Amino acid sequence: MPKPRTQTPYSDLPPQAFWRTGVAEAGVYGLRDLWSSPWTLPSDARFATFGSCFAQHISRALKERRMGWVNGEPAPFGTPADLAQKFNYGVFSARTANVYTAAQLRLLLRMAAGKTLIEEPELWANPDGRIRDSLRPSIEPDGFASREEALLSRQAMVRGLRRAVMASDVFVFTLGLTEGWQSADGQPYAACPGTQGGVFDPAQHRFVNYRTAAIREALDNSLALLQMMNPAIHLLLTVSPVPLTATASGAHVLVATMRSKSVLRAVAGEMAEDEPSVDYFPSYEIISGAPTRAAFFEPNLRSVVPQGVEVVMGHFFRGLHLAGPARHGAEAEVDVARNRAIDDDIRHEALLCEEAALEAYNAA
Amino acid sequence: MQPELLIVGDSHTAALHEGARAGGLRSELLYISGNHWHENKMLRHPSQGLAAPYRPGLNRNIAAFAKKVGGSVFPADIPVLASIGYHLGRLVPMLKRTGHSPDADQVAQDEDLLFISDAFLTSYIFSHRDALFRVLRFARHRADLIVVAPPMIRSDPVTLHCAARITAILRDNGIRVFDPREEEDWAGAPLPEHFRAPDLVHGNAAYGAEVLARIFDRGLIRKVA
Repeated sequence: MPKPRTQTPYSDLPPQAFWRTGVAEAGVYGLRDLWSSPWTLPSDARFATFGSCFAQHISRALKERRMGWVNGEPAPFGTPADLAQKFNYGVFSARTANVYTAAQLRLLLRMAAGKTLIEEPELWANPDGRIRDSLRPSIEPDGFASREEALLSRQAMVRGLRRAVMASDVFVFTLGLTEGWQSADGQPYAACPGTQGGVFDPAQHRFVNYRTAAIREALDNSLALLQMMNPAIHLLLTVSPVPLTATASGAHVLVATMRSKSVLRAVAGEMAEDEPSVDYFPSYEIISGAPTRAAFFEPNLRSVVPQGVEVVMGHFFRGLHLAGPARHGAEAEVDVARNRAIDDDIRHEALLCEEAALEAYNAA
Repeated sequence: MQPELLIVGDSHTAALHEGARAGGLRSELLYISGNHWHENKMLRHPSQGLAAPYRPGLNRNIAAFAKKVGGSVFPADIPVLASIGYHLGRLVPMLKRTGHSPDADQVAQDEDLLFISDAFLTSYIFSHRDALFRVLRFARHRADLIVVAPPMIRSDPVTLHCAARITAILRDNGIRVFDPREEEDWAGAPLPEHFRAPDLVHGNAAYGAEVLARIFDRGLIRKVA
């Protein structure tokens, strides 16, 4: 006689709670219910996207689906796509360039909230006299002509970031690295001085491999700054599946990558468990998990193939709950009215021009 | 009778043409709307000088004008005044539409504005005017050519920056430019009232005559004998 089954906490769990049914038999394309947003967002929800290079894919997918991607610092109207790309417009919701660490995010948000002066973070003078922004050294292909120009551009980025925060319902931030470089007094850099600008000075520039407590503190600070600027905002964390290009930690780059991603994943998960306005989206697991057998990486085992991004974004869009009432209609109307006024001005001036020229023919 | 001066370009040609006529010069005018110049599709043409093959009607007008003045819009034997390459009434509103400005003071005073670097502005201008710059580079080798920059009546910082940048680009390309903003008595202020057309966008005939007088007095183009 078969032994009667004992009721346990596992007895009534759905298939996705078990590896065999949830993963092994489902396969990569059969994975279901990986993520379900805990928030009911407005039907016209707006998303700001920042973070490491994988975050660009999220920006692009939101734009392609016309999903309310906020652009706080757009390229000027009429900018050709190749020019916008060359100057890093439209990659993230402001021209921050890649934000790899939580410490960088905190510094940027401090500037957006007016807690840190825009002039404070370093500018780097290159040997050719061009100026690079230590927060985004490659934001302009040839750097800036002067310190003044670099600061004005940084100010525009900060304004754009603030706008993006204030206009969005969800701030998506993709954590990229635990390793970074900072100044002797603790200012985080976007890159090691000397690699994309500036000159490396071992007395001034320090390697840091952020640990969980420091990352959590930077993210807690960041959340407070976000909520100060927009009390209703949600923070959606993801971890980039893209491995490190190089490590300065002394460990093998594979070990350093796993350390980095594991720490970031742990912090993001715990923060999502602790804070109702924070959630974690598992793009890292989808790309890097065992079911894909690394099939979503290019042959360099680093870059993510488009099919992988598509699968990630499919889970993202399926997991969203956009059942709340729309709340951005008025903002859209203001934009339309402003653009209409500018178009009217252009038409009026064009008419004046035609009249001036016709009068000249009359005089002839 | 052969004309003494050709005036080619957008609506700012009107003041120059009226000024030339008032001064007794035999000038011929080829006016093409700023909208067409702004399309940035105009081409250099080996015989008629300028072509707009994508707009047959406009192209016919250009060909007719070229024929009337001896074969080319940019002939070797008649000086040419060009109001080409700026068309700020079309360019500047695009920047303003998204709240961009290259002017440091303006950006500092207005929290809503977003700064653009000089490198970006230059690339942006090229993306909207490079075909016209090619026409002008071609024309300067064919004709005694000077480009006349538009007068500045409303002192809008974005407009001033764009105009100055275009003047610099033209000069970098070896094209002579008469820029009214560089005139000692007109610099740093809107064009004097008695030189303004009532629309407050263009200069008037007196302005056109004054520009021509300055150009000829300095020998920037030669007078037809």
